[in-house]
Amino acid sequence: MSEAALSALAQLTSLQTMLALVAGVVTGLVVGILPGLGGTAGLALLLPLVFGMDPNSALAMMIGLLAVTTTSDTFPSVLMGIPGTSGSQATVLDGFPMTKRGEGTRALSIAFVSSLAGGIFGAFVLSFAVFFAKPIILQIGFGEQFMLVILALSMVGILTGANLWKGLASCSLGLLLGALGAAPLSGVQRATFGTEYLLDPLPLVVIGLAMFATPEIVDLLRRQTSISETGKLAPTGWMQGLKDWASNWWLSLRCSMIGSLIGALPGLGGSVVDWIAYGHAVQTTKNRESYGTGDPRGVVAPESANNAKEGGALVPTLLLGIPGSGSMAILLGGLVLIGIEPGKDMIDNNMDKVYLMIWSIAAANIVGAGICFFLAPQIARVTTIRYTLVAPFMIGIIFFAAFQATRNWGDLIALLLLSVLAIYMKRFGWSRPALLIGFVLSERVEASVYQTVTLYGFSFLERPIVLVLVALTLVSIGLAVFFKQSSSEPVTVEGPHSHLRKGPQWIFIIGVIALAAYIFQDGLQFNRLTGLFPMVASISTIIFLAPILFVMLTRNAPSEYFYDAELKNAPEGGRSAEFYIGMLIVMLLFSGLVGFVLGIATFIAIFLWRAANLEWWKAIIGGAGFVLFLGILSNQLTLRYPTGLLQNFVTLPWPLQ
Amino acid sequence: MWDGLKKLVIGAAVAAAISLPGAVQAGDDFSLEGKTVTWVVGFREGGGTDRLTRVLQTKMSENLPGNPNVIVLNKPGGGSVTASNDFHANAPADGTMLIMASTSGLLPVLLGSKVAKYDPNEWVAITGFARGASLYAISDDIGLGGEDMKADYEALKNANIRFGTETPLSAELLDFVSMEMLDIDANYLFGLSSKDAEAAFQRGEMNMNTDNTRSYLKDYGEDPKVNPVWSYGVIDENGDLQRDPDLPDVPTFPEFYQAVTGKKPEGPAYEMQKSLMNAKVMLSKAVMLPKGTPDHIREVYIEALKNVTSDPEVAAALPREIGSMPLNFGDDTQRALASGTALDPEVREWVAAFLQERFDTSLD
Repeated sequence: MSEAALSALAQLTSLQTMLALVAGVVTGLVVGILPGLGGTAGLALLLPLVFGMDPNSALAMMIGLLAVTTTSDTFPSVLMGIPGTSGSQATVLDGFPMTKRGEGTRALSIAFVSSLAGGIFGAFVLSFAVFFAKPIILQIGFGEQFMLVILALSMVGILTGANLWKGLASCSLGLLLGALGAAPLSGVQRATFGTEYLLDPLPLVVIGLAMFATPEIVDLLRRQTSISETGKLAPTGWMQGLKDWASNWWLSLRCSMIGSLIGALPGLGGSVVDWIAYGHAVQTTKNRESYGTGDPRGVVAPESANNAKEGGALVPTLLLGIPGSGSMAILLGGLVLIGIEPGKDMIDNNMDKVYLMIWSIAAANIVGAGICFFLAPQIARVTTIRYTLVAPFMIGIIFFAAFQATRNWGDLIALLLLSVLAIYMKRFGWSRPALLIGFVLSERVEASVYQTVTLYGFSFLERPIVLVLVALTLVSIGLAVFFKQSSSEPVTVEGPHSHLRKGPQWIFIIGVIALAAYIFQDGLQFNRLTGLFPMVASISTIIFLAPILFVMLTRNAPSEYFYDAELKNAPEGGRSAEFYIGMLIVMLLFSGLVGFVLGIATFIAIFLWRAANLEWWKAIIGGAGFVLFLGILSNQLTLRYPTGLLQNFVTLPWPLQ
Repeated sequence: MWDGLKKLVIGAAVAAAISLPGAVQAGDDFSLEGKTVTWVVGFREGGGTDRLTRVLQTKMSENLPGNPNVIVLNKPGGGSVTASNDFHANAPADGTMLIMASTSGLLPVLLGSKVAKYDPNEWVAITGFARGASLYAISDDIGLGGEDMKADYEALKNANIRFGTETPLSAELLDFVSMEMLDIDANYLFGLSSKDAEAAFQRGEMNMNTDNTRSYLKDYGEDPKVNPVWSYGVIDENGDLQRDPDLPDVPTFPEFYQAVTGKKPEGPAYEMQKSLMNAKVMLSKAVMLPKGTPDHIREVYIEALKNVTSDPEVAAALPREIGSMPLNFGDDTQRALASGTALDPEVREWVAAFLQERFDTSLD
């Protein structure tokens, strides 16, 4: 073992391999920092290079790339509240509020050191797991996977926000959104609203952007002059971040363990790791009311877990030849392409290659975190810029990011519609994390319930690992009930919990019921494989809404059941959220006419000129700069942007198409 | 159905004969110099279809007249249905756009799905990449001896077979139909992607699985506990079914059928089986030009693909992606396509009834 490990270390430290690794890391950081891009886009960039390269270098380069995309994706999620990948969604919850306090550098620093610790831990676990993990992984059958999903879902309990029923209804709504499009058990398209876009389920990245990015952008436009409320960066900066991590090292370690475990086990998939880690942090630490308001522990937990996940996900990839996560599937593809095939054969005969991967993960995490540390203070300055100057570019970027999901007009429309939902969820106190967790798990819930019951009936409950998971689930539910959050706002007539002016809340709830009813009646026309899940999800949504409806109808005093943030402190002189929603609609309609690139550029220029009061020529330079940015990306990554109706008649030159 | 095929082949031959002199001439001036050739892939980067395309892409430019810039455009969605719809409606027929089709793009057409608004039969076939497939099982669990097909058949009929697949309408329909022809029933478990099904098979929760020959050999070639029941073979240039060259000792499905029932397979079920075999094995992947592409451009691309696939570097990489089955070009590919994407009404009726009865699944 040690011989292979040392020989692999010697191979990695050869100049050529090391350079390849660093090149991979830099590419990974660049694609990671751009919301919506990630491992797949990075791999497309590397492929022309790895052909004909010596296998060690190619391997180091690809691992280097994939190991750090979850490090640099922290920049947009912490600094701008834009979760560009599924791995950075939970980080937004506390990372972004820290940034708004002017502590962007500190939050980034916590995130990077946590990523580093998690990444190294993942590599460490991997180096042992390749010897003994196979029998454990083979124990995780359908019954165990089903209970893992239920356990994950139970952790939503602690993230439901101030009102339990609204939290559960949000989670159900997430399940409901997950039921749109092709059914996982039959492939039949259900509740497609007649669109080709919903041949597939809604993409997770679009949901993440809509839930977290758009409502924040609209809020910031209405309230603030820059992202950092003080307009400055706190001087303590990144040293403080290191201290924060050090005082939470035990949490970081626990979350790293969770991350590598979930990465290695079948059943949950990588995208829910950061939420489980976040839920775990809230469940097991003191002073939980500060979560969601910029608590460093809320950054430590998900960032430790999502880098540790990659090492864990390599375990089944190497042992069984079955990829443990999305990026591992890409890695597997890339490795096959250069003639390396992970699996039994590699463990038996090519142990030095296995160690080369392990060392590469560790080295890539160190190099990647190092570069990010170095860049953090500079990049964090963006949060001190006047927000009206930043906002149009951020809107351009979130639409660009959403478009990467399936490269279809539908991505942009879905982002807009879901953004509207999220803006009102935020306003009326519905938990957006709960919706997201419901959505992420919906396909697994649907498939694993059916598979377990079909194969085992209820006898799966006799399996020992299942029983352990049942116990953990009960503990998790108990914690959620015991430590129920209460609203930070006073329950008064003047506050947001007022019983007066419930009209807007009525409209929202009726909208949700209408959606559930539509999906229910759509489900009626299908067989059980296709129709059962959406019907169950619709009914559970309505059941969870029932207590809220009852209180809405009967109670004539302030209550935690009522919430409307607009009653609190509507910003003076600012425009309404509806104004900005209208603005986005106009922008998309215009793009539909002239194409995405020209549409977004025109929007940026007009916004800079009218809203940010820039001189017209500066505004035009701003729009043109974004066009150039899109053009370069389209060349490098072979992207084609959504075209407009008028482009059927006129062919535009690069980079305007 | 064979009449239809015959007509098609004769038609293609006549068309080729008429256009041949012209093709040579036009081929001389046809150049893609300074142009960009876009190669559409209906899946994300890194999947099997994408990988094969990128292997070929490396040598494509140097083998096309005028050495155009060749790019791969990934348009994921609906298992390549979205990209195929767009390709069918909008791709220019001037040799600047081609598509890498695959089984998952052909199946919806074969089964007459509403979402597929394209007909690959109208496209111009260049090259088909055949990839062998077999059905294999955990021998002890089912009671397979591997010596006597009749004894194995009895074991299969009496065993509790557990078989995990994606959906009733995925490419495993080939296995369902084959087993149905032999009255073998299984406990089918849906919602499992091929990697999930593979994992469940490794855990022993499933005891039967299907995969391409290459993956089967890599994962279980040395494992005495896992053995193939039958392979789906390969169709040679005479249109006859031969054994899979990588599994020379394994009977093909028709061989197995004949050995255990004493009859040759026939009837609508077998027509269905053959169509699915063409879609899944013979056209595992296929390079196509848009409908209406002139013959001289077709010839240029057939020539180019012949050169690309015999380039030493590409030839070395191909077995990793598709195994060692021979490639098919031009008319051969078009013929496989005709079988792999169209059903006679009686065959369609049979499969619709089968799906309804066995899986409560309607074809529409």
